[in-house]
Amino acid sequence: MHLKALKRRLDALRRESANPVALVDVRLRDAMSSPYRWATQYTETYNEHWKDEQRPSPYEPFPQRLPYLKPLFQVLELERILWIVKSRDMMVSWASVAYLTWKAIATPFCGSVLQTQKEKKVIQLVDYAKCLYQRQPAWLREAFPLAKPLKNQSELELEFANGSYIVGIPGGADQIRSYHPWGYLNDESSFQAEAGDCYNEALSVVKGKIIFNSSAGPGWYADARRDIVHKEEE
Amino acid sequence: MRDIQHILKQSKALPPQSKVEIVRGLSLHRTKGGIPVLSVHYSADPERDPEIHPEWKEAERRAYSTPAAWDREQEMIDEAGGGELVFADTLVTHWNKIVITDPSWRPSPHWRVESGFDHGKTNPTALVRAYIDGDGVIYFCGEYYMPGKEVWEHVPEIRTMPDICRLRYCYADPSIFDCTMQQSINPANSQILRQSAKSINDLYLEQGIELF
Repeated sequence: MHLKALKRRLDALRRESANPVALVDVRLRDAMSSPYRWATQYTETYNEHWKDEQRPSPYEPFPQRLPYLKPLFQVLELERILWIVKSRDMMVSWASVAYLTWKAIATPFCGSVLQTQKEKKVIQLVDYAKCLYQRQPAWLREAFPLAKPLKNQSELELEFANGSYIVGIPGGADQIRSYHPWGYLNDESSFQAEAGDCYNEALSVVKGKIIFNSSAGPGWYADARRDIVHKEEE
Repeated sequence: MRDIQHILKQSKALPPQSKVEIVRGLSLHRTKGGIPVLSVHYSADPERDPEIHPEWKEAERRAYSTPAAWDREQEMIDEAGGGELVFADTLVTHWNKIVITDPSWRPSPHWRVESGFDHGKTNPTALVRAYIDGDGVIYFCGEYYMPGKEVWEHVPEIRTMPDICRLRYCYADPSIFDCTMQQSINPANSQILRQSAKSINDLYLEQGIELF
């Protein structure tokens, strides 16, 4: 009885290994099984200071040596709304963009909006998403193609063939109203005068993830994180 | 994943603002409304952890222009920088756009005049005078800034400021209205000569300045 079951299993495995589509399927499932796995094993970030830091290349995967990255990605996955305050240069903006890019790649029609103070800065965030897409292995890019070649995409947009997108918008509460994305990242929130209004707008138009991320600084974001409530007349 | 789910669940049961450490340098608290707040401190990176590599902090700290900049950018202290010049950075960065250098320029006599005031004894006493045009643009046009003097010494100087009589509002730290300035006690301690504690505002009023 056991032998029969074992033979059936062996036959199934043989069939699967003889089928290249099934093999790719297994690899795809593994690569996209979690944002942490994808970010640390199947794509790369770029580092403008790679020469100063004596790195062998400007491109490197998210470092697995950082013990906080896995729980960070897990919290991003588990909570609908997440506010983050961080020391500089901890790869948290990269991780937030990676999470939304992973979601856009893996889930059809799952668009996200990235917002920060200035257009120039948000172009950089969209570039993070483009880099993460581009630095995947070819078989992953083939499995999740773009809507059009990267060079033909706007500097504020990354569109996927599956209907997902990453769009960058500059600061201002009125900027987000015309979108109805699944995800929203507000980066450098401490330095956006209208961050509080952006949050309220996001609550009404974003159906999925809302992420605020910033280093420290006085203002709405600092007060809201610490439950310091101001009366209207103040 | 199960550990994180447990921590997130646990954090919901704690009072708001209670911090839970997930790994070293990474902690989580929730606001009154239940929003999770993750704090990612540089000590979460073993190469920057002061307990393992104190040299990173020493070297990195030197690269920051002020202790406040380090506190804000790396120690995540939101209010770091209190006591520093508020507009210094704005002035330096946007000098060409926001500073009127024409010596013949004068504010319109029809513009509203408002001011801000802060009294200090060891620290400077400051009164800044601003004009507001019809579009709401604010022009800062004059300042009194003097440390180490008494109220009766400030008053004659403030009186000489242009348009001081046209001030529509003067915004001041509310503590100037607290009656905390104990007056001297007359040795006779008679009913007539006894004085109750006064506020800074009272002292300015006695000198004929009714701005606040």
